[in-house]
Amino acid sequence: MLATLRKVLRYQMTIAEWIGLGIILGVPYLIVGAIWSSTHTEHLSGMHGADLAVSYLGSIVSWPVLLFSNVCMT
Amino acid sequence: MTRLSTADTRVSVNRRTARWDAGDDVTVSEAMDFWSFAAGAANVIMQLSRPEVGYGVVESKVDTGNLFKHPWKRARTTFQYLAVAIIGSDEDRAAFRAAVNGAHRHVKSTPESPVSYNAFDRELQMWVAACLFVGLEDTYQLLRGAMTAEQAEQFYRSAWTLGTTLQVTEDQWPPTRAEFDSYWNTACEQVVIDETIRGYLFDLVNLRMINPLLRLPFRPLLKFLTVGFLAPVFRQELGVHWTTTKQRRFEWLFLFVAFVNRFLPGFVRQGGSYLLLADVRRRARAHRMLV
Repeated sequence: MLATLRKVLRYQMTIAEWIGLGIILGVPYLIVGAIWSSTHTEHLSGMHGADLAVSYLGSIVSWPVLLFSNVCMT
Repeated sequence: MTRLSTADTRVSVNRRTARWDAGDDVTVSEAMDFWSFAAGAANVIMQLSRPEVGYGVVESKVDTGNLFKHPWKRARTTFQYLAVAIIGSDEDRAAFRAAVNGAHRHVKSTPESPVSYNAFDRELQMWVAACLFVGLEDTYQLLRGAMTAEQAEQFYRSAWTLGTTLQVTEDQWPPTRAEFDSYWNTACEQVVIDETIRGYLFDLVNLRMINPLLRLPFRPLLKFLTVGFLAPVFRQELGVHWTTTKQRRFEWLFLFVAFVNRFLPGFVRQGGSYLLLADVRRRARAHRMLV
């Protein structure tokens, strides 16, 4: 068990592989975020311009938090 | 019979991806990225184009290992053999050897067979192992770039377990990579594909053994990849054609795949082989059938 943990912890990846891993995990995350944000737009109703854009993009990035609590981003 | 040269017996590639690790040590285990299995059908064709191997497979009475009766099982055991031979321990190899021997015991020619064969024939096994090595060397260099002479030697030496996992002995492998070329060119003179074997191989490339819903979308791609991975001598025997346009597309495809592959973490590229190896170990512990 401990040996497996050590093996996992000393696993080496190239920078390219880290970038690739980021894309593999990041793309589905952002797609879910975009879908979630586009279907939960009540809080955007009173906003305009930069506030609206930042709030929308912010909800795409932070959708897991917004599932549980209604964080105010303004 | 005219002597064959490497130009006849190996695929030639004009444009390869650049190497990222110019002088590092290499082993055949780095060739296990899952894209390599794109050359799988071509490798089966190469192996079976030696008539003794071809008829050994086509006439085999071992139904549990029959590609057309149990295609997914056959795929699993074939890839597990590669995983055991290349990344397995000596213990894994001994267990798998015993299992394969059990199946191979039933594979010998009868008086009705057009050629005489025996699955324990070490020379035939050497041919099959040589095909596997050629396939891995080709795919590895398409994915990671050409090797230096020294790297090619290391890669070659590390691939011997492809044969020694069964009955091939170390002294059967030509001692150097250069001598392997002359072994391979001579061995390719025995390549003959008759109507029976050709029918079997076309059924394989046409994916006759799997569900039509899976078969239809993959068939054109598999055909393209398979003919692309066959050296001229095999293409000619099989009766398939290849053009410079297709060659260019093939090379561009692998330049792209090689680029994508650089960005995939090792556990994505090779995880499948480790899972298959873990499955072998689980089966061995539970005393279940390995093949």
